[in-house]
Amino acid sequence: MKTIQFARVLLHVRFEIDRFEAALRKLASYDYASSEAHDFIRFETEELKAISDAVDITEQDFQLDPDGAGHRLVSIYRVFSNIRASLEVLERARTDEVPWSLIPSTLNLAKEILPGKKVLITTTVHMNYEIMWYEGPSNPFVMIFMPRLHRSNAFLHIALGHELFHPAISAFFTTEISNVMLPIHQVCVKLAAGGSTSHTRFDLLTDEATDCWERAVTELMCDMGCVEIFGPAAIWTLASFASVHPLDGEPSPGQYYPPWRLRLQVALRYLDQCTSGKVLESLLDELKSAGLERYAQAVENVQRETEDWLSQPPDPPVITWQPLTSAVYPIVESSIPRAMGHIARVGQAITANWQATIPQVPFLVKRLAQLVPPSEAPPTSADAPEPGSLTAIVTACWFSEFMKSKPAPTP
Amino acid sequence: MGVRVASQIRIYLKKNLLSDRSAIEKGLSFIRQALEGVGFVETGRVSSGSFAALTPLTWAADADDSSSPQSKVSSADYQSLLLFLRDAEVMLSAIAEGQQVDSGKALTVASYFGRLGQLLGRRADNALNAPDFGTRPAADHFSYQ
Repeated sequence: MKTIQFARVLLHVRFEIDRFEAALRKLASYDYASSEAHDFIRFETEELKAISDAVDITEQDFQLDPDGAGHRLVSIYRVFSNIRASLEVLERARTDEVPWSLIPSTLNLAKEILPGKKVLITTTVHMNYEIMWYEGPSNPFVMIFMPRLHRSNAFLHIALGHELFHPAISAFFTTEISNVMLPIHQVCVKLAAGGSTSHTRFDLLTDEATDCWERAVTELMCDMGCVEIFGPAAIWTLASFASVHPLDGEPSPGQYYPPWRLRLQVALRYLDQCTSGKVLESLLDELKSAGLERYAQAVENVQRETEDWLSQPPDPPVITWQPLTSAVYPIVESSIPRAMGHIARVGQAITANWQATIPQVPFLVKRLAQLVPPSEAPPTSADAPEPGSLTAIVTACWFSEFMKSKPAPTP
Repeated sequence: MGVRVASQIRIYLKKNLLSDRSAIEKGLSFIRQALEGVGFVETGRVSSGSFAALTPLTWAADADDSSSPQSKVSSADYQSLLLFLRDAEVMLSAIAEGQQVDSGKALTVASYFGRLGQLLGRRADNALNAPDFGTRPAADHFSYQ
């Protein structure tokens, strides 16, 4: 790289770093729903300093290796461009952008599931819940993105439980590979020998097969995690998402999301395992003993309808899957029992899961029936009331919704 | 990582100086993961609990312009890449320890990492220029559906 071009890149990079720092200072003056946002601003300021130092070292090396220094400077600019997105993350994490009243209880859950991590909840224009984090101890921040339009939709906030489990399952994959890598290799050898792949390199074929397996198991495990926190309410939220997607869509390359029917079936299996086959019993007993029989009946109907829906044959019939997907899914199935065991172990850390907060539910349901927000737990003494539990609140919201729902018109 | 390693090898050859030691360490870690990936391709077994083993191998194979065939369908096709990666591991270890190295071989390794850096840089540019970039940084990332 010529000296003048190097100087041009240098000027550009230093100008942008300066502007980024100014933007961070401005963001530090805003109000956020949790202290993690200010911790994140301090962390990004430190990262910026490290980038600035790397620019100085690269400038010193220019005389010794002009081309190499030029390429390094462009590479540093890419790293900088990546962290620049954190400005948007912070902007959309301001108090008035997020469901601020639920942030503290969500962060309490996060502390139990992801000890040592700092969770920042922000919003996105995408109609999707997302999570991002960095492996290793150098960056402790986990960013959870929720759709801006869902800011006040408690039913769908349950999806935060799914997202929280993503970073919590890395350890499972570390041990599980010893069980699945050999079968994946064997599958790929067969696919390559039978000409059932468009890959001309075996490493790309195995990489894709592993990706297909890992993505399926990951999503299924996070659904189980969501059930671990929210119980049946997680199933109802999953079913809401599934209702606007094909139930039997084939996992497609690049994303490889498992089909919704399988996701719901595995989530139900997990719920069944958590409750020793008595999925709704404790909830229904609590409702009935509080004089809420009509609610109990509505919940039973919804649960039955969900199970009936899942047992229907595919309409239209499922198209035959690609050879790679068909060959990998039996390996996915083989991992599910071990995956369930892992989620149950992680779930032991959660103190306010749905089963622990069932006694609050009838009280909150009654408040909702009187159009009072379900934000306080039943009073236990003359003291000021305690906030309601997140798991009980969302369960009560679903019950209230079921009572409002009208039956679908008969075709 | 690629362009940093390439630059550090050239600077080391000129001045026997390492201004960015962590680049050499990252390069070594990459080579070892790619070697583990070759081991998996050959036997179907992995020696460590890291799924990263396959991605470094695919990157290493992308940057490989040696005499090995473009189409690699059997473990035999990975032999020349395997030998190159082993040589590169020895070279980077020697540089990390401040030992004398053969400049011709070192420049071959530098050229390989330079190519790898350009390749990964192009991919990073594609990700950074994607329409939805700017709202979220690229990290381990999953979305709900």
